[in-house]
Amino acid sequence: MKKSYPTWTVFSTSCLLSLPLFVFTNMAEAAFLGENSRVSIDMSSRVSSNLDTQNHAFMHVLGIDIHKVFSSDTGDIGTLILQPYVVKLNNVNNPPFIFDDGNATKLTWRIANFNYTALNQGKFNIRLGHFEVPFGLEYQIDTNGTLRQLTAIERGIKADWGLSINGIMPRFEYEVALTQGSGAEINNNDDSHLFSGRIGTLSTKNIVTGLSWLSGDILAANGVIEQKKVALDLSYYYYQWRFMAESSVGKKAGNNVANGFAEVLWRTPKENLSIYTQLRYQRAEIDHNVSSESSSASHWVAGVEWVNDHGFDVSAQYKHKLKEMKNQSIEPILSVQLRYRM
Amino acid sequence: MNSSAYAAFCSLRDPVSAMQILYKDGYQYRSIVTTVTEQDRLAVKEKLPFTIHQSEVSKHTLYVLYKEGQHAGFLQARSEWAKWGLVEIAWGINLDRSLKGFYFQRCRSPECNDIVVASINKQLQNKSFNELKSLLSANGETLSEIGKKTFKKSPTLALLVLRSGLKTLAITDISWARDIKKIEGS
Repeated sequence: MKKSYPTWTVFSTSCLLSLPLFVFTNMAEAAFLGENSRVSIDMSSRVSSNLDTQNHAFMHVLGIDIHKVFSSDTGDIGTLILQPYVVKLNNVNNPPFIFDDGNATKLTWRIANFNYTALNQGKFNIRLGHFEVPFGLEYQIDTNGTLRQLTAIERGIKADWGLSINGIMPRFEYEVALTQGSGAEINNNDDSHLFSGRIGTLSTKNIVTGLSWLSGDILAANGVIEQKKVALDLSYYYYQWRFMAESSVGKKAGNNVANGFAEVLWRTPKENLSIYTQLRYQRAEIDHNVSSESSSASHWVAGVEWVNDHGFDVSAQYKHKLKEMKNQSIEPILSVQLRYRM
Repeated sequence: MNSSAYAAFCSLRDPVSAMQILYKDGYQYRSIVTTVTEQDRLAVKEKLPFTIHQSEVSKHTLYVLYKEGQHAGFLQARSEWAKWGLVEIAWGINLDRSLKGFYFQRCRSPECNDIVVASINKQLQNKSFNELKSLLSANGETLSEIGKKTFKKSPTLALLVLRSGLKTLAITDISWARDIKKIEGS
């Protein structure tokens, strides 16, 4: 096992390393990106501790977030978003399959796409690049780089390389995508592909609902896995409270699966402190070819996030099992993250 | 603003719904991103008895609306604090810098419904900066006597919206002065 560095030490080092990066990005913003651009540096360190085994896994991230709107004299042409991030793992058991091992370092693209918006007043846009797969609650809530996650983990894919049409109509919004099914990997050598979409009511309202679907072969650690899913999601906002739920049914590798997700979140009036709890449920056939026997699992998550006026973000989250599936354990994980954007 | 000022840029969305409601069909929009400075914040204080929050000293977007190649108005989204959290209001601004109207991009109170919005919008539409200012008390913390008569329905929400509208008009003229001059000269 390689030596683990204390999170605070690595974070401080990242801060020091980011200073020349900050100077560079400011110069880049002025010299190369020009008008209508935004650049920010984003860094974070996270420790996830398995309370049963006392294993401590670390993830350190340093990246640039670039946003640039291209315009003609009388209208916007499109928006470019580029988010290259260097991710360093340290002592991670079962790392995501895109990493060579639990101590690997890798350049990843969180989001990298151009959305062509010049066609029809935002009603019909064309997006090309790496973007979030339009499915369920993930479509309207940004969880990139945060401890708090929604339902992407159930599908094994959050963002993907490809093409989408998207837009906002007077009474609904939509995005329909055809992507590689390879997630973070831009090289697709495994014949994966994914067709996904979501049509929902306006996300500016206090009650938001949507219908999503996906169908395709998604790249995983041992090749591609066929998935077909449909989902309904619902969000309700009431003063400082947010209630969200998503339910999906479908097939994964030929087995029938059903997932349920619910979250309650409360924020202080200044929105610098939020507290949330989530409940997740999954029911899946063990092997459809043998019998229709199925097994279920569930767990709960509780978390807190504090954001200050100067870009610091401190969050903590705890996951605990309610019920485990056969041959699949749910470990009690306590995670703490320190993040800074400048 | 606390929760959104440091949000990742992938969460930035153009106020498309607001444009569709306030400007209907046939319009194109162009973004003008500028840095609102501490000097701009102080300049607002010279026009109003209050100013924008310090955390708003950052980059913001003014949308210029065009119809058949001619500029037809502006739109700017602003955030305000209510006792239950952040309220995001998109403001339509006429060429003469009177208010065209507003649209709640985010307001988590059930009071922010279509009936209340229509009622407040009716009183604000096409009013100039000085006409709007007369609806506020001298210290800007409450509605004036005229304001109380104007906003009999939902006065607290109307006060929040009115203050937002005044700040929007002030900061538009201050922070985008050079851009607007260029547009008007073209």
